[in-house]
Amino acid sequence: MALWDLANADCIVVMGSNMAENHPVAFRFVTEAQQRGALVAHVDPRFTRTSALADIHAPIRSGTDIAFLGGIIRYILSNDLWFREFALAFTNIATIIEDGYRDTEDNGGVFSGFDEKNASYDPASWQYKGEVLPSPLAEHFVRTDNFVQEVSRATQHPPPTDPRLQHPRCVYQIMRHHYERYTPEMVERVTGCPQSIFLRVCEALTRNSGRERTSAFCYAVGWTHHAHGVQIIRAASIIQGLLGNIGRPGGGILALRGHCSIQGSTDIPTLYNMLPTYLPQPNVHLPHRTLSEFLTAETVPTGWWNNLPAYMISLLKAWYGAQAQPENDFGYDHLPKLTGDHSQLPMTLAMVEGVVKGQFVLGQNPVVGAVNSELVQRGLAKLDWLVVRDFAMTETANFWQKGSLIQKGELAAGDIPTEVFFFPSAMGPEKEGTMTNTSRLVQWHDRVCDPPADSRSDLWFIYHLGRRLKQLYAESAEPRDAAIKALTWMYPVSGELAEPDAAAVLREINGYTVADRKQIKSYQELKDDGSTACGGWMYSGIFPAQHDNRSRSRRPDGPSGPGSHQGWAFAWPDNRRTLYNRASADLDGIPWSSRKRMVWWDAAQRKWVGTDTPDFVPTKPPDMRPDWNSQPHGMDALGGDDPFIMEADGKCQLFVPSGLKDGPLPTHYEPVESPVANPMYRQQINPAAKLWPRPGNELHAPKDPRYPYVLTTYRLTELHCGGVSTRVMPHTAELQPEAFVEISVELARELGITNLDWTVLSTARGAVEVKALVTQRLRPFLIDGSVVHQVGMPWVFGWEGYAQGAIANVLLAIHGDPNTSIHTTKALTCALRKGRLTAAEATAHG
Amino acid sequence: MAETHGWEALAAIDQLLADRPDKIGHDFSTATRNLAIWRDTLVQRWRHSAAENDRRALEKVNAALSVILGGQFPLGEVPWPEIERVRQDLGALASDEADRRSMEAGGSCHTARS
Repeated sequence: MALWDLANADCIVVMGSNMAENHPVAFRFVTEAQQRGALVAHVDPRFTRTSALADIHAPIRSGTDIAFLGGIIRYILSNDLWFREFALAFTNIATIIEDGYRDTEDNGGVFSGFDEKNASYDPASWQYKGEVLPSPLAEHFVRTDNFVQEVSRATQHPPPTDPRLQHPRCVYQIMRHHYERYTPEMVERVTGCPQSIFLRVCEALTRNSGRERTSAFCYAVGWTHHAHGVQIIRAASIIQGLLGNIGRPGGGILALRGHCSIQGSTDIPTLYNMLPTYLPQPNVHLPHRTLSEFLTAETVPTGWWNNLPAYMISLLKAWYGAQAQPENDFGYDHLPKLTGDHSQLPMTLAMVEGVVKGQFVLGQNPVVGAVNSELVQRGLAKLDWLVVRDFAMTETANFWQKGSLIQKGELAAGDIPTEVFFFPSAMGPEKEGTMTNTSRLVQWHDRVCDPPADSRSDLWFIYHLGRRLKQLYAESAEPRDAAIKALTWMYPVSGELAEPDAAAVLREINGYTVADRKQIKSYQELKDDGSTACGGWMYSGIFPAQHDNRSRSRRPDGPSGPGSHQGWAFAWPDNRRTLYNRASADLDGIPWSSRKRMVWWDAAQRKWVGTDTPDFVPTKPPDMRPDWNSQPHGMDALGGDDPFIMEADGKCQLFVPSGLKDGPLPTHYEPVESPVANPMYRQQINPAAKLWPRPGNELHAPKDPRYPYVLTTYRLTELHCGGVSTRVMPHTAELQPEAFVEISVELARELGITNLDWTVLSTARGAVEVKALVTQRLRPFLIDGSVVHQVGMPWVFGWEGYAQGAIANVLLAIHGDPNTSIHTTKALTCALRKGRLTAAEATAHG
Repeated sequence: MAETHGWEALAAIDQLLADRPDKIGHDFSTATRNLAIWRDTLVQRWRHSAAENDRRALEKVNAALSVILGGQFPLGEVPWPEIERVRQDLGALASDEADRRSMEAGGSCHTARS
């Protein structure tokens, strides 16, 4: 949903985010909604400025979000408060699941298909009955010898359903059973949130959802940074699917992005397992040996992703140009193939093993921002070379000189062979280009001045590095160098600095026809025959003509306009502001209510119209049904009442048969490190969580008495992300001059700590000393009959700049969510005592 | 040095194939670490010799390292069949390397004697 669409919400639940402080621009629309009468709830362990501005603050213990959200699901189902017409038509609530499916309730806290030895699931029993549902572009789906034949059944008939919802294995009945024990009492027992407050959130959400009203969720890394983070977001999507809050004005789930263009770096990715705009990276262990094999295995027969071949081949044409021809699989062999999880966490561990020879660090400061900072530094110390680009010295660039291991005396600078190249980089106003923000909104920014001295833009650096590599390998006959030789790398440069033209890059991402190099106008023009080239299909339309850069557009609607602001920049795909907006109209294509209208079927014009670009086949009537006799593929296999076009069956996936690695329904598991036993299941933690215990990365056992407190980390408004950019600025540094640990009055009293006392925080990974900030913003929780204290520490400090302090990530462990490999920063355990760090404590870990 | 770490890597892979340890663990570390050292040694050797044999050996060990790393940090199941194949390839390589070094040592002595 668009940021400004939040203003149309009747209720907003901010959870897993201190939105007012960390996303102040977006929060403007929350306050606007509030002024229009919306109710705002903030669910968070701390009472922050977001809580202060909310109508309800619901405190929960870190990492127990699924218990809270599962409780809401139960409240909706048991009180029959779901938007029946919406959910029955547009979600898979009536779909029947395989006979072999076993729920966590009946299977010791794990779903059927769990392989303990591999700590992974086989999702065969989660499938729709008699079907094998392919998962669009996920790594995890049923793999059988005749997979292609099995998934092709989706083109022969619709999935089996029971619209009366009586079948014991229809999704509705499965969900009722799964969430039956998530009672208000259980929510309080697990999360520590008083039942009365929890019920107020339930009532607010359900009262403000339905035909006439919509509600929204806003979240940030307070949801994602857990070993079950994906499932937390899934739980919210179930709530929104049940309440009819998807694809409608003021409804949705807004993923708040932490800083500029994080969304863009996911789209045109820095992620190891994706090609631009969410195409899968080939995997050496899958049937991906040739382009044909890859496309056969990965192309979903039904729904929009059936267009994968056109997007993939157009990408290869953009990258390899004339070298990409049908006879050489369009250069498919040039793409590196995955052999395993090569994301940041395992690669940090691989650095420690001596596998990685060199690393580029652009736009981040992993010594401060990555978990288990000392292990990160041990890895950096094993590299042959390290390139860091930033506009001020960072802890990552001088770890060899001032790092934790040096401070502890464990290493001397002379012991570290890593050759570090520190390059000064241009700041935002010193370079041109785009930023893609929270709402998939791509906005162009101009250069206002040149960077000083040797500072250069990242685009300059990457372009000239690539150019030099191409020169270096120009005469090479090695097959491994062929990819660099074949790469198209012909961006015009200008000025004394030979700055590449960022607009030329954006034109290539938009796509063009190969024969005459004309810009394409939409991804619908992309072909799978090599006649089109496109660097990222979802961005097509952003540069539809040679001199028409839509990301530069700055035309707001004005007070009398429709409010979608389609003249303001470009939102992918197709300048669409709200995804799945076909769901804003009922089965007949009529808006659910005039108050909440967005897209509807215009019978006279025989097309979908509205205030937003329809996210649907423009001329497909609402009463169209697939002709199963013709074995339809792609969008022909979805009816006019199937709004969720990126799913193979066109339905909102309340129950996920394929694509997730840790179960089809969100389930409460304790954080990997927790001071309590799981009150709900015998299974303590997400059984598929990625755990990598090793020396220096030891994990605390549940209820370890040495580490009795819950530890969470967070950002500060005054210091941005890894901190350096604001710690070197006196006017921001003085606002948060040093690191601290935030503790409750009750815990301070228990430990004899007063405000500004020195304290020592420690885990199995490391120990730090910081001053205490004793506040009422944190309060003890009563969990399953026992008092549990939680402490918080900002992770934005380091040894550089004016505002210095201990690095919180020294304390954290490397482990990950099974779906994303993302780290856990929000819920771990620690010890805390009054006093200064002793030499013995400082050197105890290593 | 390369041979030492090569044999140690092979022994570690043999142990892995015998134990088939649970995914959660640190069991691959010895194999990975020794393979990385073997690779680094081969890099140095090839840079010095520019010999085709050394280049081929480096490519094989480098590829093997990718597969073992995929076992240490798998996407889904540990790829045991691929690890078995890697073990066979590396075993043959290590034997060839040992023979070659032995012959080179012998040839060198013969040259010196003549």
